[in-house]
Amino acid sequence: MPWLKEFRAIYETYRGNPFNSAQWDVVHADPAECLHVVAGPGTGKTTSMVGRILKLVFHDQIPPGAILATSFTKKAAEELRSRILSQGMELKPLLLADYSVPAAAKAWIDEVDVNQVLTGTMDSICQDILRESKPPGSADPEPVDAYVASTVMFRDGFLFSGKMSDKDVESYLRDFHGPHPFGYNATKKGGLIEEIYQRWNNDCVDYAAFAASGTPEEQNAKTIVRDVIERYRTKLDELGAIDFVQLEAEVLRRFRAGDDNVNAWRDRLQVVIVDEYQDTNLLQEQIYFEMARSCKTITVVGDDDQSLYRFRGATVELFVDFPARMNAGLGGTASQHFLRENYRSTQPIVDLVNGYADLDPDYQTVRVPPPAGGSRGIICQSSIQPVFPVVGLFRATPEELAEDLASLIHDVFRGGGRMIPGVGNLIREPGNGDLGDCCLLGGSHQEFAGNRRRLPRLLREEFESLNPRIDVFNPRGRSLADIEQVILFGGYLAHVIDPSGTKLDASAIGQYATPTRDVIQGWKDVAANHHADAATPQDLKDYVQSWFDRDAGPGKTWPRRVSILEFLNGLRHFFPFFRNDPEGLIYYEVFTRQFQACQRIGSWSGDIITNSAKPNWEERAAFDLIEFMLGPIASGTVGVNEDLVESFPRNRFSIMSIHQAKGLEFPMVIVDIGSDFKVNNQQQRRNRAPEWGESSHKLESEIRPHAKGIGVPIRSEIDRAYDDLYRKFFVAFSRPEQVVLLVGLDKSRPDTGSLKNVAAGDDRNGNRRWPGNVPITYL
Amino acid sequence: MSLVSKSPSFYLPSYSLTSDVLGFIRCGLQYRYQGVAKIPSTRPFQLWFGEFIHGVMEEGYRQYEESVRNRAPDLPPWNPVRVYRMARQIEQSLRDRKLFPNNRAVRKLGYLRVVTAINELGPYLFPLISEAEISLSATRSMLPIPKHYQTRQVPSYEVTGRVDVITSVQLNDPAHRGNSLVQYLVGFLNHERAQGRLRNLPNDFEVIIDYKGARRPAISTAGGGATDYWSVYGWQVKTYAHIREKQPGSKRVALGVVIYLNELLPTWDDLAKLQSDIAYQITDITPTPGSDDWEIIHMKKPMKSHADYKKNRDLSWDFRMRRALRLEPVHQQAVAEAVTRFDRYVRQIEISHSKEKLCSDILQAWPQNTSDPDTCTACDYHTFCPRRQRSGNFATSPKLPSI
Repeated sequence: MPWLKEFRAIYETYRGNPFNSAQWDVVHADPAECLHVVAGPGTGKTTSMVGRILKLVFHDQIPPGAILATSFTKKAAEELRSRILSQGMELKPLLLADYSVPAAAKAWIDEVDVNQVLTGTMDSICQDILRESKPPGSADPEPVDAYVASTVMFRDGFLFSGKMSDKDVESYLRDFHGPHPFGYNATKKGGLIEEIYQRWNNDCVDYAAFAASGTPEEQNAKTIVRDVIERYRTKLDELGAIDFVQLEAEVLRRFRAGDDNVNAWRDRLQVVIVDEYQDTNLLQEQIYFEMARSCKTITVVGDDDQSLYRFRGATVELFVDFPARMNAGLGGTASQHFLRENYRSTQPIVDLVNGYADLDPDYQTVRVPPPAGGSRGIICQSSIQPVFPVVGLFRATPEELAEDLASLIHDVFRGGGRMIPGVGNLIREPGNGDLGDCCLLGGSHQEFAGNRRRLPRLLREEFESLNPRIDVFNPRGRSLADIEQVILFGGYLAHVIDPSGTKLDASAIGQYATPTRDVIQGWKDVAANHHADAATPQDLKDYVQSWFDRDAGPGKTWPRRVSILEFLNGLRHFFPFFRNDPEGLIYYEVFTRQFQACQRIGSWSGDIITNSAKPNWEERAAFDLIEFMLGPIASGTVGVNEDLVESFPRNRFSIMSIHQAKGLEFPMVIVDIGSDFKVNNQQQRRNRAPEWGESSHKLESEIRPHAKGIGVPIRSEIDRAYDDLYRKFFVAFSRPEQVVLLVGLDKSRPDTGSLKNVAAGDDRNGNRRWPGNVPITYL
Repeated sequence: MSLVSKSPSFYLPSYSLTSDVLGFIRCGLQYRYQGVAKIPSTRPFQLWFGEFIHGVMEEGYRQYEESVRNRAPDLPPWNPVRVYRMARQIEQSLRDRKLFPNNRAVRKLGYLRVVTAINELGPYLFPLISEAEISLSATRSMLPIPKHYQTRQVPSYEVTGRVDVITSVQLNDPAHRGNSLVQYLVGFLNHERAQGRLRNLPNDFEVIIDYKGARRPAISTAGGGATDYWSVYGWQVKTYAHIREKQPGSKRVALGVVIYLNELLPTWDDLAKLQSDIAYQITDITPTPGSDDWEIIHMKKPMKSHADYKKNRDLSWDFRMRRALRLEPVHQQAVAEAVTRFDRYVRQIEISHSKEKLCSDILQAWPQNTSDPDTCTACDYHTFCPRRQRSGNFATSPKLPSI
């Protein structure tokens, strides 16, 4: 007996909101139907996906364990699972209690366990597949972290190959670096080889054909690059490790080889649903098609305007062309659905988002075409009051901008509010309002560019001078090497690792540029001064001195081998910031993570050796600790663990990059569209009006002709660079719920700014096209 | 003209029974550092040991299972070298996960114990296994959280776990005649039935088995009252049973079995603790006074090194097996109590997260709630732990390494 109408009524009553017609089309589509869902920002994408999954489970009686739902990031996948489980748990008793649900359906619902729905990221699902299908005698796949992979690639692959100075390699990689020699060093070359390696796999490239193309010099370079990559893989094998790219490639290989265990996993699936599909790469697309090979039912959801991860191999065309690609890869057709009703933002913000998406005529050619006679624009459904216009704050210098912006934020969240001309007083919500209702987004959250203090840094300083002061939450944006406590901690660590002070001059940290050595030396100086300071607690001095002297105390012997973790842990006792403060703990974790990296790839397990009979052992162990633990922190090669940055404290002002803000929303969002652009500096043009493609665009052009399953990029590198920039600010402008505040220097002001800047409304030809229906109230 | 306030983020947290809930019970502060922030312990041997022994037992079963599939059943005991080979492979994969035994003695003990477990327990256990390493997951309502701690919407939570082994064999199967483990389980079930604690038990049911790389805890402290670990391991296996029964196609779970693998090869330190537990009458499995087992337990520790286990192996198999096996009947009331206990701990974890968000001070937000002195002894944070400071029993400065 059909009871879809009843299911909808019960579900909508439970949610307290009806589905709009586009959402309902997605939810109630036939279980066997493939869908291509183009979901604008704030249009209830997750709502529709969760609704569809619960309808499949409860109404269509698809076993939960036969449904696979994935998303691009771990956090997005967790949120998806959160909603499936919580709504599933709450909806189930309502369905069971409702008289309109047929008895036969109730018998099914009563038995069903929503927790069995398979969710995760592509990586986590691949890991599960390999774990579940591993034969006896083989180990669980344990992917290495990015630092370990990069280090092995650089050291065991590149450095030990003896080809670092090969002229052909030098010249070949140089083309991808960009026109300026600045920053083109051994580390950069290692990074480019890593990018080639990832593209090779992510784009399913026929490397033999790729290596056979080009001039003899280029062919030689590509052969060397392949050798470097082979050395890297061999080393990972020796370590019993696998990287994420290999993890996915192995799963695809097993699917295609007809592995019984992997096929058994696939055959239980009846529906595959993929979120954030705009950031999928070719390898992942092929895996998804293999996963859906038996059931032939796949739904993809995404928004091409929000594709941000080309630099990680994402290929937005896979989403744009999904119906045709699915037809070719799996057979069948996918129905297209557009979610346009936006429940997040007020009308002026929606106008900004729509106007911005439309302003560059050339960009329109790469978007998913709207339905016949329709539009891609989102439609405001927000009921938030009061409504504020788009606000702008532009000043002549970064310092003035920081001062005025800090004052405004202070007024709104700590004072009596700030008058917005023509509107009224903007002030925090009287009950629970706090700084967590607001954030600053920019192309970068970094507080320094070289030695120059950027807006996030200047703001931090301004906030500290106010009364009451405002604390900033920006753990990802501060280079560890800039944080006072990290400097002191790292300085003591360097002294203890290398008491004689000679090893820093040796070649062990040769892979790091001289500035890194200088940084560590600077840290040591700070620690030495601190140690000499009369105000420094004596017990700290004694503790460090004992380690420095390798002196265990009267009548005791210092061990020949001791883990540096013992020192890290002991030293932390004297640094309350690293144990009490959640932000400090995130920084401390970097030290311990690098210790673990040293354990993994070094030869001395992260130990300090004290053995006067074996001075070379002492030296080598110290080299390891400097090279793998301290050096990467000082050079900025490693940063904080994103997974640990759980949430934003309510009482601090959050700063984040646009990439990090994806999927988030705040009542008030400050978008930095040009605080870095004081003059028409060539180095900065890539962030506002690119003159050439980035390495990711160049590598795409170089490699894609040899990709199996996708053609060459149709657009030029520079056009792709522009497309990516538009997408980035599209994401930024669509985060706020109630207030969007554009900030920058006067030269980026949308009405009078003289610098070409796509975020200020320029198209790629330099025509200022700020949407006429989006007036800005300047402060 | 005020701003709206950001809606509390919606989140359904996922808590693992072992790494999260048991970690929090062990000590809230330690859990915050090691479980949430992923700070490695300087003494991770307990974690290493547990993972190592689980890994080798699983691998041993997989090899046996494959031999059965290939119609050439190959049941332990095996040549120790074969077990060492499996152990080395597991050790390598733990190394990949950044888990190390820390010292040679711990590593050696681990190797000796897995050989004992596989070769002495394996022959009885492996033929009974129907599934190994089963992932479990269920959604539960979150107990109400005080309003001032509601920093995120958490109406419910996911509880996850991994059961080591499930058996669903017919325990009366003649093929298992002579299997001392089966005899022990059947004897227990019959006793429980007779006591009326396992009513309406169907012929076909499941038994959940969970390995612990630990000694059998005392059932109460010397001063009275239940110790945490005794209760907690019991709740854990019953909660597993509760979740398992909700999975489609599963059978009634009649029994939860915790296997304390250390009891199969106790160290002299373990025997000293057992001796003390016997003296205080706080352990449930004791040898008959005057028996050989009694004598071995009460003899003076013969060597300083705890690497000599020869005498310990002389403890009878029956005694070691009874010490290793803890049988928990699974019935409605026991399960309800276990699950409610875990709900309460999860609420405490959530409140701690909220406190931290509100006050930005980890030491204030997370409880230092351990009741196990060993947890404190091996703790990296004891020099600044507020509880230790309050007790007056703490070192004011970190200890220096020495031999």
